[in-house]
Amino acid sequence: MKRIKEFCQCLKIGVVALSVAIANMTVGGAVMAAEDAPEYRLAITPTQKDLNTIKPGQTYTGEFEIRNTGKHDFRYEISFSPYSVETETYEPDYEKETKYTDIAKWITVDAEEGFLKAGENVTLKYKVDVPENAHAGAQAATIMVTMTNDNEANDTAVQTVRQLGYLVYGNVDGETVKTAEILENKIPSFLFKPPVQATSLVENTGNIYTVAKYSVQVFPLFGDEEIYTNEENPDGNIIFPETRRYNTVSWDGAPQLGIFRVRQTIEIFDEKSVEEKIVFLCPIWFLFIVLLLIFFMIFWIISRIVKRRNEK
Amino acid sequence: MSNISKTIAVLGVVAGLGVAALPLSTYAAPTVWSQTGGSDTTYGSDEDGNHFVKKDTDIKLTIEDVLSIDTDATEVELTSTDGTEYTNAAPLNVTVVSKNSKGYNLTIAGTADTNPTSLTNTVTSSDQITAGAGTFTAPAALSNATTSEWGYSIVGNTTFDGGLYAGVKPGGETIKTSTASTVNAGEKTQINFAAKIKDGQASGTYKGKVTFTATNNPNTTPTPEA
Repeated sequence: MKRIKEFCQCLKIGVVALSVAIANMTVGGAVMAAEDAPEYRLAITPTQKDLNTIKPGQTYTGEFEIRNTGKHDFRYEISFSPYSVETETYEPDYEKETKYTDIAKWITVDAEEGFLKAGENVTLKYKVDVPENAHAGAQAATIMVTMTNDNEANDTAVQTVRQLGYLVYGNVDGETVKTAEILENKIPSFLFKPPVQATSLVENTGNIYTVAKYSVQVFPLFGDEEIYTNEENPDGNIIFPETRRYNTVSWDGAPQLGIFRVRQTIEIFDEKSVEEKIVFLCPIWFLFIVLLLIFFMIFWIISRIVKRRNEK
Repeated sequence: MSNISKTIAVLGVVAGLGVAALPLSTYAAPTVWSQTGGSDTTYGSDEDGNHFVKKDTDIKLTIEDVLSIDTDATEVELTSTDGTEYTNAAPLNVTVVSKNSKGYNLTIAGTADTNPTSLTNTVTSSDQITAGAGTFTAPAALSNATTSEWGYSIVGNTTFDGGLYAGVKPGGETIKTSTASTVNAGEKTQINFAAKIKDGQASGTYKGKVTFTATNNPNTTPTPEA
């Protein structure tokens, strides 16, 4: 009876301990403060245009809206910059001119400067005139919208200027090369907390940009019924020629504890890579308890053995 | 029951309850044992023989692809108490709002008219406070050994700890990379500026200009190549 009572007491303590641990698994949430209009704010919408395949000698048009969403009026100016990317995280370079940035010289707009009162919008129309002798391959540029302001300070001062870039890119038709390499396709085996993230690195060795597709499927350890998949709407990344791009696909709905089979499939041009791994999700507190349990069990077993030997 | 046994029992219960939660982590979808119908209508029956009719209805919502930028000051004044170290009174806040699922990049570039990366005397353009030698990835302490220097640092970026600064570059440097859309209130990057003046620097007003540029990361799907 006494042993049963003691066991029930231990059971209660155990349940309380687990409840406290679960209660401490907080789910992050964003707190959105009410927005107050700033003094000066420049906005554009939409923010990029994919011209897809463009032909030499043809003209393509587009437009976007420039908005003044601040409290004060401002002037703005339009300019054109090359657009290329550096590093695997695609940091932009608006200065470097390459064979893939000639399009910056092909763009014209209907007005290269303007004035917007607070709360006003204006639609900027642009035209891309592709030369007859344009070489085949990707082209990318930025239409820069710069908010200008007058410097009124008398003391040593650093004037700050705000600028937004509208991306324009396309593939000039002709002799194109469509080759790529999938350099990495990784899935972690052990995680202390969700989400489950599959990472990858792809390189476009061709001369046109394309979209690399990343799909992730999650299955239980035993069985083939999908728990999660983005196959119908896979993640996609624009990959410019002669660049590498790093990507992460997340399963945000993963539970705190579980064992799953995770498969990531990457496709770019004709290249395909499939990686599948068993992923163990285990909160660090649970791992600690399991290790502690194992430690005490080993200690208990050893102490029993020693006790019996001493009794003999 | 010995103390060790009690401890093992408690740990065992906790571990057991945790393992018992494992099967709950598997999602069970409702099973359709037979199904007919069109693309949005399903007629079926479940394992118990109960018949049902389901009709799918699309719900659509469009969020604009918007990018915006604002700074809480059009200029930052640098002041000094000893004539050597100049700093701003409060950090400059640059706020970017991006609804692009691939995020955005924020760059800083020196864009002054006369000497793009320097603070230049408004009377004598040859008198300059040049940009420090540090970069965003490798900031350095400002020096006034031979020339006066100025630079920027990013609040909250530990690379700049210890009074290190980066000098602005004419081609710009990326100071913020985001891989997801921001909240409606935007994402704030705080920047401090400082200058270190050499002994003998000519008096006068020195001015410079930096341009903050935000662009969304490329994120559209081109027509698949044939």
